[in-house]
Amino acid sequence: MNSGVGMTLDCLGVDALDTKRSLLSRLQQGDTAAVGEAYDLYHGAVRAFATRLLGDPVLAEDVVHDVFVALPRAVSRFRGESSVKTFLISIAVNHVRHYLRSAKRRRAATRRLSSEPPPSHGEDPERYAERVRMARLLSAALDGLSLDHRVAFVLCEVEERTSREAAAILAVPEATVRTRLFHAKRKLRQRLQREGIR
Amino acid sequence: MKDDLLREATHALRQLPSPSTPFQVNETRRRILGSLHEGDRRRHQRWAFALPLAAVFIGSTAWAGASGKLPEIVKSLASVFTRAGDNEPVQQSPSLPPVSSTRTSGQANRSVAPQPKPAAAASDDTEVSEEARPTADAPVKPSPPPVRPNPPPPRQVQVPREVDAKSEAFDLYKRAHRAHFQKHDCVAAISGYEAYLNAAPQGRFRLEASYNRALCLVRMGHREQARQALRPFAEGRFGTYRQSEAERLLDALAEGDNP
Repeated sequence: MNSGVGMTLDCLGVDALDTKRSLLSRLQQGDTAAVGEAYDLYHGAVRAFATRLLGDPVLAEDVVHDVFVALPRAVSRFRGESSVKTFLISIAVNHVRHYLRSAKRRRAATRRLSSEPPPSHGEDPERYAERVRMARLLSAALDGLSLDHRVAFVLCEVEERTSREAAAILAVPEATVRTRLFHAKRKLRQRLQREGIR
Repeated sequence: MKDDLLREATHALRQLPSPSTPFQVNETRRRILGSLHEGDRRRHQRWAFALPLAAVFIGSTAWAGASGKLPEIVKSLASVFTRAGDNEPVQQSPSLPPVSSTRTSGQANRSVAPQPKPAAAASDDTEVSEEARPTADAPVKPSPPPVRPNPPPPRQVQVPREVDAKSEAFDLYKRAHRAHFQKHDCVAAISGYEAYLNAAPQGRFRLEASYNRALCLVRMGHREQARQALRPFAEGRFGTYRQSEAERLLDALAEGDNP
């Protein structure tokens, strides 16, 4: 019984690997439909990362667009040493740079207008509002960090990636990621303190 | 601030639901595919434009190489480009004012007024005007030309390549000019100017040659011939070129006739 389940899982793993390889080879050949398939598979991860990093869902959509448009060209650099998702996040890191400043401006403008928290999806409204407030404060505090520190924090703390994964995405040594993370957290604590979270 | 509060805020940010709706997700997908198709279309257009050009170029080069005409074509192309390069300074150099039989407005005349100055005789031309003014202001007396104490030595002249092609006519003009303004030999100057005008009736210095010839005629006392030579300038057939000087010279000649 157990061996049967194991075999099925193995088969599924092999199938997934084959699908991934075929997708990659089609992407390398410039197949537009393959980009659509890659989007269906990975858009969530890219969108979540961009939203967390920018704090702006509208600009995050633009980043997602840019990442997948750049994918057919960028895929020639992909050596298969990391997952496709990690590779896409690394493309997003390169593209997000152009949006950081406008994200900050937009957020500052909309903060005044959008004081109402989004719907709580059945959660205790007071608790949910507090959570949203904290998330927004943290998002605003992230604006004060450099891109390197910000990316390191989002990757390691918010997305809970290991420093090895973050190092692969950023193409820097692990020690560098840890240093950036340390400084990012220190600065964020100071900023959140100033904002009144004690 | 406690570390767990930062952790809590981080957790809150992580748990914040994605505000993207399925509509937005599909819209972004549509935008991505649209951008890719547009990129493909542009790439195809570029190829559709560049390929025939490249094919024509390669084909014609191959044909020229096979038929042995390649060196000839390259040579002619090179000469075209060289000529185009050489023409630029010539076009920028002062050209002759258009010869018109009627006088146009003052503005139009002024536009054609810049007078052609031969590169070689640029310095000497200042002498021409200096030479012309006293003759124009004072009553004309047919007398031997005044001897200048120290005529400046002839300067080294850089003959442009374009002029080089018509060096013969240009040499004639130079010789006449030298005879006129340095040697003050009006007879040699007149024959030199006439030789130049015969050799190059449409030459660059035809106006200068005609006017200087007229000056020589005035100096030599050939009044009638001088009048004939000066009249076209006074009538403005060459725009405002030497017009006022010619008018004054004609007046002076008339005064000389009727003292």
